[in-house]
Amino acid sequence: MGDDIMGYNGGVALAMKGKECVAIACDKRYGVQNRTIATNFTKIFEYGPHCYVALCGLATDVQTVAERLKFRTNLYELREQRKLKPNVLYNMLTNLLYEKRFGPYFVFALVIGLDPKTGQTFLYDSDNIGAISDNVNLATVGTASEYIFGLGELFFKPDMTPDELFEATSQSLLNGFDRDSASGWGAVVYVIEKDKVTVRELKARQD
Amino acid sequence: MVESIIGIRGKDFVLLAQDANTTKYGILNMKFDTNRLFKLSEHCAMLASGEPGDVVQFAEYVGKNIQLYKMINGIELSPYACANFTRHEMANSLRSRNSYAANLIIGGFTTNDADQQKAQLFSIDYLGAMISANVVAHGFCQFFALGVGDKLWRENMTLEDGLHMLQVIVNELGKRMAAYPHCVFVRVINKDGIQVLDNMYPEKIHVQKPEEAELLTSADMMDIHS
Repeated sequence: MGDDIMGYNGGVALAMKGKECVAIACDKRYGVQNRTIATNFTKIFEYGPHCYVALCGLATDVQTVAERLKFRTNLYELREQRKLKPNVLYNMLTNLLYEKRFGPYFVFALVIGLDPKTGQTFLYDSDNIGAISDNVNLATVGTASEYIFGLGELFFKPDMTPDELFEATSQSLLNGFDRDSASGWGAVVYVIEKDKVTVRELKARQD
Repeated sequence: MVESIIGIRGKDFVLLAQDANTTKYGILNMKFDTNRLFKLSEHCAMLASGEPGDVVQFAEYVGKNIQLYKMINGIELSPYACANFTRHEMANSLRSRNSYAANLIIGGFTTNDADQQKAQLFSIDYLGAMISANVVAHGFCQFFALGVGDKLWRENMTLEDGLHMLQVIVNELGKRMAAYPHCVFVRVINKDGIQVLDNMYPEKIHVQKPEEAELLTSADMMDIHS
Protein backbone atom coordinates (compact mmCIF):
# COMPACT_ATOMS: atom_id res chain seq x y z
CA MET A 1 0.00 0.00 0.00
CA GLY A 2 1.07 3.63 0.12
CA ASP A 3 3.83 4.25 -2.37
CA ASP A 4 4.25 0.70 -3.63
CA ILE A 5 3.68 0.95 -7.39
CA MET A 6 4.09 -2.74 -8.09
CA GLY A 7 1.39 -3.57 -5.54
CA TYR A 8 -1.04 -0.79 -6.62
CA ASN A 9 -3.16 -3.09 -8.80
CA GLY A 10 -2.08 -6.49 -7.41
CA GLY A 11 -1.95 -9.74 -9.32
CA VAL A 12 0.24 -12.78 -9.62
CA ALA A 13 1.43 -15.29 -12.23
CA LEU A 14 3.28 -18.60 -12.07
CA ALA A 15 4.97 -20.85 -14.63
CA MET A 16 6.32 -24.38 -14.33
CA LYS A 17 8.00 -26.90 -16.61
CA GLY A 18 7.17 -30.54 -17.14
CA LYS A 19 8.25 -33.24 -19.58
CA GLU A 20 7.60 -31.79 -23.05
CA CYS A 21 4.97 -29.50 -21.55
CA VAL A 22 4.86 -26.14 -19.78
CA ALA A 23 2.16 -24.51 -17.70
CA ILE A 24 1.45 -20.85 -17.00
CA ALA A 25 -1.21 -19.56 -14.63
CA CYS A 26 -2.45 -16.22 -13.30
CA ASP A 27 -5.15 -14.79 -11.08
CA LYS A 28 -8.00 -12.60 -12.37
CA ARG A 29 -8.22 -9.71 -9.94
CA TYR A 30 -8.08 -6.07 -11.01
CA GLY A 31 -8.06 -3.74 -8.05
CA VAL A 32 -6.92 -0.34 -6.92
CA GLN A 33 -5.05 -0.72 -3.62
CA ASN A 34 -7.56 -2.32 -1.25
CA ARG A 35 -10.60 -2.05 -3.60
CA THR A 36 -11.45 -4.79 -6.11
CA ILE A 37 -12.90 -3.30 -9.29
CA ALA A 38 -13.16 -6.28 -11.67
CA THR A 39 -12.58 -10.02 -11.60
CA ASN A 40 -11.92 -10.73 -15.27
CA PHE A 41 -8.45 -9.23 -15.71
CA THR A 42 -6.20 -12.07 -16.88
CA LYS A 43 -2.53 -11.34 -17.24
CA ILE A 44 -1.53 -13.96 -19.82
CA PHE A 45 -1.10 -13.03 -23.49
CA GLU A 46 -0.49 -15.24 -26.52
CA TYR A 47 2.18 -14.39 -29.09
CA GLY A 48 2.43 -17.60 -31.07
CA PRO A 49 1.03 -21.12 -31.15
CA HIS A 50 3.33 -22.19 -28.32
CA CYS A 51 4.52 -18.87 -26.90
CA TYR A 52 2.84 -17.16 -23.95
CA VAL A 53 3.79 -14.20 -21.79
CA ALA A 54 2.46 -13.31 -18.36
CA LEU A 55 2.83 -9.71 -17.17
CA CYS A 56 2.24 -8.60 -13.56
CA GLY A 57 2.46 -5.17 -12.01
CA LEU A 58 0.82 -1.83 -12.76
CA ALA A 59 -2.26 -2.63 -14.86
CA THR A 60 -1.80 0.19 -17.35
CA ASP A 61 1.78 -0.93 -18.04
CA VAL A 62 0.66 -4.59 -18.32
CA GLN A 63 -1.66 -3.51 -21.13
CA THR A 64 0.86 -1.13 -22.71
CA VAL A 65 3.70 -3.69 -22.75
CA ALA A 66 1.34 -6.38 -24.09
CA GLU A 67 0.29 -4.00 -26.92
CA ARG A 68 3.84 -2.87 -27.76
CA LEU A 69 5.10 -6.46 -27.76
CA LYS A 70 2.21 -7.51 -30.02
CA PHE A 71 3.18 -4.74 -32.43
CA ARG A 72 6.78 -5.98 -32.60
CA THR A 73 5.83 -9.64 -32.93
CA ASN A 74 3.33 -8.85 -35.70
CA LEU A 75 6.01 -7.00 -37.64
CA TYR A 76 8.45 -9.87 -37.08
CA GLU A 77 5.93 -12.37 -38.47
CA LEU A 78 5.25 -10.18 -41.50
CA ARG A 79 8.90 -9.64 -42.30
CA GLU A 80 10.20 -13.15 -41.53
CA GLN A 81 7.10 -14.99 -42.78
CA ARG A 82 7.32 -17.43 -39.90
CA LYS A 83 6.02 -17.75 -36.35
CA LEU A 84 8.04 -16.72 -33.32
CA LYS A 85 10.21 -18.99 -31.25
CA PRO A 86 10.15 -18.57 -27.46
CA ASN A 87 13.74 -17.34 -27.10
CA VAL A 88 13.19 -14.73 -29.83
CA LEU A 89 10.07 -13.54 -28.01
CA TYR A 90 12.02 -13.35 -24.78
CA ASN A 91 14.79 -11.31 -26.38
CA MET A 92 12.25 -8.92 -27.88
CA LEU A 93 10.65 -8.43 -24.49
CA THR A 94 13.92 -7.75 -22.66
CA ASN A 95 14.88 -5.28 -25.39
CA LEU A 96 11.50 -3.51 -25.08
CA LEU A 97 11.87 -3.24 -21.31
CA TYR A 98 15.52 -2.14 -21.33
CA GLU A 99 14.73 0.68 -23.78
CA LYS A 100 12.98 2.32 -20.84
CA ARG A 101 15.85 1.67 -18.44
CA PHE A 102 15.70 5.16 -16.87
CA GLY A 103 11.92 5.48 -16.85
CA PRO A 104 10.81 1.85 -16.73
CA TYR A 105 7.52 0.07 -17.17
CA PHE A 106 6.29 -1.29 -13.83
CA VAL A 107 5.80 -4.90 -14.93
CA PHE A 108 7.57 -8.15 -14.19
CA ALA A 109 7.29 -10.76 -16.93
CA LEU A 110 7.28 -14.50 -17.49
CA VAL A 111 7.85 -15.96 -20.95
CA ILE A 112 7.10 -19.60 -21.67
CA GLY A 113 7.33 -21.67 -24.80
CA LEU A 114 7.62 -25.08 -26.33
CA ASP A 115 9.27 -26.32 -29.51
CA PRO A 116 6.56 -28.54 -31.09
CA LYS A 117 9.09 -30.64 -33.05
CA THR A 118 11.63 -31.45 -30.36
CA GLY A 119 9.50 -30.95 -27.25
CA GLN A 120 12.13 -28.68 -25.74
CA THR A 121 10.64 -26.39 -23.09
CA PHE A 122 11.51 -22.76 -22.36
CA LEU A 123 10.70 -20.71 -19.30
CA TYR A 124 12.18 -17.27 -18.70
CA ASP A 125 11.66 -14.79 -15.91
CA SER A 126 12.25 -11.05 -16.25
CA ASP A 127 12.22 -8.07 -13.90
CA ASN A 128 10.98 -4.68 -15.08
CA ILE A 129 14.20 -3.69 -16.85
CA GLY A 130 14.76 -6.95 -18.68
CA ALA A 131 17.21 -8.79 -16.43
CA ILE A 132 17.71 -12.29 -17.83
CA SER A 133 17.18 -15.48 -15.91
CA ASP A 134 18.25 -18.57 -17.80
CA ASN A 135 15.81 -21.31 -18.73
CA VAL A 136 14.47 -22.13 -15.23
CA ASN A 137 12.09 -24.83 -14.01
CA LEU A 138 9.81 -22.63 -11.97
CA ALA A 139 9.17 -18.88 -11.86
CA THR A 140 6.64 -16.52 -10.28
CA VAL A 141 5.95 -12.81 -10.50
CA GLY A 142 3.53 -10.54 -8.67
CA THR A 143 2.47 -9.50 -5.18
CA ALA A 144 2.13 -13.09 -3.88
CA SER A 145 5.28 -14.40 -5.59
CA GLU A 146 7.13 -15.22 -2.37
CA TYR A 147 4.24 -17.37 -1.11
CA ILE A 148 3.91 -19.17 -4.41
CA PHE A 149 7.65 -19.79 -4.80
CA GLY A 150 7.66 -21.77 -1.57
CA LEU A 151 4.76 -23.97 -2.63
CA GLY A 152 6.09 -24.27 -6.16
CA GLU A 153 9.43 -25.62 -4.94
CA LEU A 154 7.54 -28.10 -2.79
CA PHE A 155 5.23 -29.43 -5.54
CA PHE A 156 7.73 -29.37 -8.39
CA LYS A 157 9.19 -32.69 -9.60
CA PRO A 158 11.42 -33.05 -12.68
CA ASP A 159 9.74 -34.53 -15.81
CA MET A 160 6.09 -34.25 -14.79
CA THR A 161 3.30 -35.36 -17.14
CA PRO A 162 0.80 -32.69 -18.27
CA ASP A 163 -1.78 -33.76 -15.64
CA GLU A 164 0.75 -33.77 -12.81
CA LEU A 165 2.03 -30.42 -14.03
CA PHE A 166 -1.50 -28.98 -14.02
CA GLU A 167 -2.07 -30.18 -10.45
CA ALA A 168 1.24 -28.84 -9.18
CA THR A 169 0.73 -25.44 -10.85
CA SER A 170 -2.88 -25.04 -9.70
CA GLN A 171 -2.23 -26.04 -6.10
CA SER A 172 0.79 -23.76 -5.76
CA LEU A 173 -1.09 -20.84 -7.24
CA LEU A 174 -4.36 -21.28 -5.33
CA ASN A 175 -2.84 -21.83 -1.92
CA GLY A 176 -0.23 -19.13 -2.45
CA PHE A 177 -2.53 -16.31 -3.49
CA ASP A 178 -5.01 -17.11 -0.72
CA ARG A 179 -2.44 -15.54 1.59
CA ASP A 180 -2.35 -12.28 -0.38
CA SER A 181 -5.16 -9.76 -0.28
CA ALA A 182 -4.13 -8.13 -3.57
CA SER A 183 -4.47 -11.31 -5.67
CA GLY A 184 -7.14 -13.89 -6.20
CA TRP A 185 -10.77 -13.79 -7.34
CA GLY A 186 -10.32 -16.72 -9.71
CA ALA A 187 -7.47 -18.23 -11.69
CA VAL A 188 -6.70 -19.41 -15.24
CA VAL A 189 -4.17 -22.14 -16.09
CA TYR A 190 -2.75 -22.80 -19.57
CA VAL A 191 -1.01 -26.16 -20.13
CA ILE A 192 0.95 -26.19 -23.37
CA GLU A 193 1.86 -29.53 -24.93
CA LYS A 194 3.32 -30.41 -28.33
CA ASP A 195 -0.05 -30.87 -30.01
CA LYS A 196 -2.49 -28.85 -27.91
CA VAL A 197 -3.04 -26.08 -25.40
CA THR A 198 -5.53 -26.68 -22.58
CA VAL A 199 -7.03 -23.68 -20.81
CA ARG A 200 -8.75 -24.28 -17.49
CA GLU A 201 -10.46 -21.86 -15.12
CA LEU A 202 -10.03 -22.72 -11.46
CA LYS A 203 -12.66 -22.41 -8.79
CA ALA A 204 -11.00 -20.27 -6.15
CA ARG A 205 -12.04 -18.43 -3.01
CA GLN A 206 -13.89 -15.32 -4.18
CA ASP A 207 -12.14 -12.88 -1.94
CA MET B 1 -13.59 12.01 -6.59
CA VAL B 2 -16.82 13.64 -5.55
CA GLU B 3 -18.40 13.42 -8.99
CA SER B 4 -20.27 10.21 -9.73
CA ILE B 5 -20.24 8.40 -13.04
CA ILE B 6 -21.84 4.99 -13.39
CA GLY B 7 -22.29 2.57 -16.27
CA ILE B 8 -24.55 -0.51 -16.36
CA ARG B 9 -24.58 -3.07 -19.16
CA GLY B 10 -27.80 -4.84 -20.03
CA LYS B 11 -28.85 -7.34 -22.68
CA ASP B 12 -28.74 -4.96 -25.64
CA PHE B 13 -28.25 -1.56 -24.08
CA VAL B 14 -25.86 0.38 -21.92
CA LEU B 15 -27.05 2.80 -19.24
CA LEU B 16 -24.81 5.77 -18.52
CA ALA B 17 -25.57 7.87 -15.45
CA GLN B 18 -23.82 10.88 -13.99
CA ASP B 19 -24.51 13.29 -11.18
CA ALA B 20 -25.10 16.84 -12.32
CA ASN B 21 -23.39 18.88 -9.61
CA THR B 22 -20.24 20.96 -9.90
CA THR B 23 -18.77 21.71 -6.49
CA LYS B 24 -16.11 24.21 -5.54
CA TYR B 25 -13.91 24.57 -2.43
CA GLY B 26 -15.54 21.48 -0.98
CA ILE B 27 -18.67 23.35 0.05
CA LEU B 28 -20.21 25.33 -2.77
CA ASN B 29 -22.59 23.74 -5.23
CA MET B 30 -21.98 25.94 -8.24
CA LYS B 31 -23.97 24.20 -10.95
CA PHE B 32 -26.61 21.50 -10.82
CA ASP B 33 -27.00 20.66 -14.49
CA THR B 34 -23.42 19.79 -15.46
CA ASN B 35 -23.01 17.57 -18.48
CA ARG B 36 -20.30 14.95 -18.24
CA LEU B 37 -21.23 12.95 -21.31
CA PHE B 38 -19.20 13.30 -24.50
CA LYS B 39 -20.51 11.73 -27.66
CA LEU B 40 -17.89 9.72 -29.55
CA SER B 41 -20.05 8.42 -32.37
CA GLU B 42 -23.69 7.65 -33.13
CA HIS B 43 -23.68 4.58 -30.88
CA CYS B 44 -20.87 5.29 -28.46
CA ALA B 45 -20.40 7.82 -25.68
CA MET B 46 -17.99 8.59 -22.88
CA LEU B 47 -18.57 9.80 -19.32
CA ALA B 48 -15.59 11.58 -17.81
CA SER B 49 -14.80 12.79 -14.29
CA GLY B 50 -11.75 14.06 -12.45
CA GLU B 51 -9.67 17.24 -12.78
CA PRO B 52 -12.08 19.74 -14.42
CA GLY B 53 -9.82 21.10 -17.20
CA ASP B 54 -8.25 17.75 -18.02
CA VAL B 55 -11.65 16.07 -18.33
CA VAL B 56 -12.93 18.41 -21.02
CA GLN B 57 -9.61 18.68 -22.89
CA PHE B 58 -9.04 14.94 -23.06
CA ALA B 59 -12.65 14.03 -23.78
CA GLU B 60 -12.94 16.53 -26.63
CA TYR B 61 -9.56 15.48 -28.07
CA VAL B 62 -10.60 11.82 -28.15
CA GLY B 63 -14.09 12.59 -29.41
CA LYS B 64 -12.89 14.73 -32.30
CA ASN B 65 -10.28 12.17 -33.33
CA ILE B 66 -12.88 9.43 -33.44
CA GLN B 67 -15.12 11.60 -35.59
CA LEU B 68 -12.13 12.36 -37.85
CA TYR B 69 -11.64 8.62 -38.34
CA LYS B 70 -15.25 8.37 -39.46
CA MET B 71 -14.81 11.25 -41.90
CA ILE B 72 -11.64 9.81 -43.39
CA ASN B 73 -12.61 6.14 -43.51
CA GLY B 74 -16.38 6.36 -43.73
CA ILE B 75 -17.10 3.83 -40.98
CA GLU B 76 -18.01 4.20 -37.36
CA LEU B 77 -15.59 2.74 -34.83
CA SER B 78 -17.04 0.12 -32.48
CA PRO B 79 -17.05 0.95 -28.75
CA TYR B 80 -14.23 -1.58 -28.28
CA ALA B 81 -12.10 0.25 -30.83
CA CYS B 82 -12.95 3.66 -29.33
CA ALA B 83 -12.05 2.41 -25.85
CA ASN B 84 -8.73 0.95 -27.01
CA PHE B 85 -7.85 4.17 -28.80
CA THR B 86 -8.72 6.19 -25.70
CA ARG B 87 -6.69 3.88 -23.46
CA HIS B 88 -3.72 4.19 -25.77
CA GLU B 89 -3.87 7.99 -25.69
CA MET B 90 -4.23 7.97 -21.91
CA ALA B 91 -1.27 5.58 -21.46
CA ASN B 92 0.89 7.64 -23.86
CA SER B 93 0.11 10.86 -22.03
CA LEU B 94 0.95 9.30 -18.64
CA ARG B 95 4.71 9.47 -19.17
CA SER B 96 4.71 12.76 -21.05
CA ARG B 97 4.68 16.44 -20.09
CA ASN B 98 0.89 16.59 -20.08
CA SER B 99 -0.87 13.78 -18.29
CA TYR B 100 -4.63 13.89 -17.81
CA ALA B 101 -6.16 13.23 -14.41
CA ALA B 102 -9.44 11.98 -15.86
CA ASN B 103 -11.38 8.78 -15.17
CA LEU B 104 -13.58 7.58 -17.99
CA ILE B 105 -16.42 5.23 -18.75
CA ILE B 106 -16.99 4.34 -22.39
CA GLY B 107 -20.20 2.61 -23.34
CA GLY B 108 -21.90 1.82 -26.57
CA PHE B 109 -23.71 -0.49 -28.92
CA THR B 110 -21.66 -1.97 -31.71
CA THR B 111 -23.12 -1.89 -35.20
CA ASN B 112 -20.53 -4.40 -36.40
CA ASP B 113 -22.32 -7.69 -37.16
CA ALA B 114 -19.22 -9.73 -36.35
CA ASP B 115 -19.29 -8.73 -32.66
CA GLN B 116 -21.19 -11.25 -30.56
CA GLN B 117 -21.75 -9.02 -27.61
CA LYS B 118 -23.52 -5.91 -28.85
CA ALA B 119 -23.65 -3.82 -25.70
CA GLN B 120 -20.11 -2.93 -24.64
CA LEU B 121 -18.99 -1.12 -21.52
CA PHE B 122 -15.45 -0.17 -20.52
CA SER B 123 -13.82 1.69 -17.66
CA ILE B 124 -10.48 3.49 -18.03
CA ASP B 125 -8.80 5.02 -15.03
CA TYR B 126 -6.47 8.03 -15.01
CA LEU B 127 -3.40 5.80 -15.45
CA GLY B 128 -4.75 4.14 -18.56
CA ALA B 129 -5.82 0.73 -17.24
CA MET B 130 -8.85 -0.51 -19.14
CA ILE B 131 -11.33 -3.16 -18.08
CA SER B 132 -14.64 -4.36 -19.41
CA ALA B 133 -17.31 -5.13 -16.83
CA ASN B 134 -21.07 -5.23 -16.31
CA VAL B 135 -21.19 -2.42 -13.74
CA VAL B 136 -18.54 0.29 -13.70
CA ALA B 137 -18.18 3.49 -11.71
CA HIS B 138 -15.60 6.10 -10.77
CA GLY B 139 -15.21 8.30 -7.73
CA PHE B 140 -16.73 7.81 -4.29
CA CYS B 141 -19.85 6.34 -5.83
CA GLN B 142 -17.73 3.32 -6.76
CA PHE B 143 -18.11 2.03 -3.21
CA PHE B 144 -21.89 2.03 -3.58
CA ALA B 145 -22.39 1.20 -7.24
CA LEU B 146 -20.13 -1.86 -7.38
CA GLY B 147 -21.63 -3.32 -4.21
CA VAL B 148 -25.21 -2.87 -5.44
CA GLY B 149 -24.14 -4.19 -8.84
CA ASP B 150 -22.71 -7.37 -7.28
CA LYS B 151 -26.08 -8.02 -5.65
CA LEU B 152 -28.56 -6.94 -8.32
CA TRP B 153 -26.90 -7.43 -11.73
CA ARG B 154 -28.06 -10.48 -13.73
CA GLU B 155 -27.54 -11.74 -17.25
CA ASN B 156 -29.93 -10.35 -19.88
CA MET B 157 -31.26 -7.46 -17.81
CA THR B 158 -34.03 -5.42 -19.37
CA LEU B 159 -34.07 -1.64 -19.37
CA GLU B 160 -36.58 -1.56 -16.47
CA ASP B 161 -34.30 -3.79 -14.39
CA GLY B 162 -31.34 -1.56 -15.20
CA LEU B 163 -33.22 1.58 -14.24
CA HIS B 164 -34.43 -0.04 -11.03
CA MET B 165 -30.84 -0.95 -10.12
CA LEU B 166 -29.74 2.58 -10.93
CA GLN B 167 -32.47 4.02 -8.70
CA VAL B 168 -31.27 1.82 -5.82
CA ILE B 169 -27.74 3.14 -6.34
CA VAL B 170 -28.90 6.77 -6.53
CA ASN B 171 -30.98 6.35 -3.35
CA GLU B 172 -27.91 5.03 -1.54
CA LEU B 173 -25.84 7.94 -2.79
CA GLY B 174 -28.49 10.34 -1.57
CA LYS B 175 -28.67 8.70 1.82
CA ARG B 176 -24.99 8.09 2.52
CA MET B 177 -22.84 10.53 0.51
CA ALA B 178 -22.15 13.87 2.16
CA ALA B 179 -21.94 15.37 -1.35
CA TYR B 180 -25.63 14.89 -2.08
CA PRO B 181 -26.39 14.33 -5.79
CA HIS B 182 -29.42 16.53 -6.35
CA CYS B 183 -30.03 15.17 -9.78
CA VAL B 184 -28.66 12.33 -11.90
CA PHE B 185 -28.72 12.52 -15.69
CA VAL B 186 -29.48 9.16 -17.32
CA ARG B 187 -28.82 8.17 -20.92
CA VAL B 188 -29.25 4.84 -22.67
CA ILE B 189 -27.38 3.63 -25.74
CA ASN B 190 -28.98 0.89 -27.82
CA LYS B 191 -29.38 0.01 -31.49
CA ASP B 192 -31.26 3.27 -32.05
CA GLY B 193 -28.39 5.41 -30.75
CA ILE B 194 -28.02 7.60 -27.70
CA GLN B 195 -31.26 8.61 -25.98
CA VAL B 196 -31.72 10.83 -22.97
CA LEU B 197 -34.04 9.38 -20.32
CA ASP B 198 -35.75 11.16 -17.44
CA ASN B 199 -33.56 12.52 -14.67
CA MET B 200 -33.27 10.41 -11.56
CA TYR B 201 -33.47 11.87 -8.08
CA PRO B 202 -32.50 10.31 -4.76
CA GLU B 203 -35.46 9.24 -2.64
CA LYS B 204 -36.46 11.72 0.04
CA ILE B 205 -35.27 10.56 3.43
CA HIS B 206 -37.85 10.66 6.20
CA VAL B 207 -36.33 11.09 9.64
CA GLN B 208 -38.44 10.74 12.76
CA LYS B 209 -38.91 13.90 14.79
CA PRO B 210 -36.94 13.81 18.06
CA GLU B 211 -39.15 13.01 21.06
CA GLU B 212 -40.23 15.58 23.62
CA ALA B 213 -38.82 13.33 26.34
CA GLU B 214 -35.30 14.00 25.05
CA LEU B 215 -35.75 17.71 25.83
CA LEU B 216 -36.27 17.03 29.50
CA THR B 217 -33.19 17.65 31.63
CA SER B 218 -32.58 16.70 35.23
CA ALA B 219 -32.88 20.39 36.23
CA ASP B 220 -36.41 20.52 34.77
CA MET B 221 -37.39 17.53 36.83
CA MET B 222 -36.44 19.34 40.07
CA ASP B 223 -39.36 21.47 41.21
CA ILE B 224 -37.55 24.44 42.79
CA HIS B 225 -40.53 26.79 43.08
CA SER B 226 -42.78 24.81 45.37
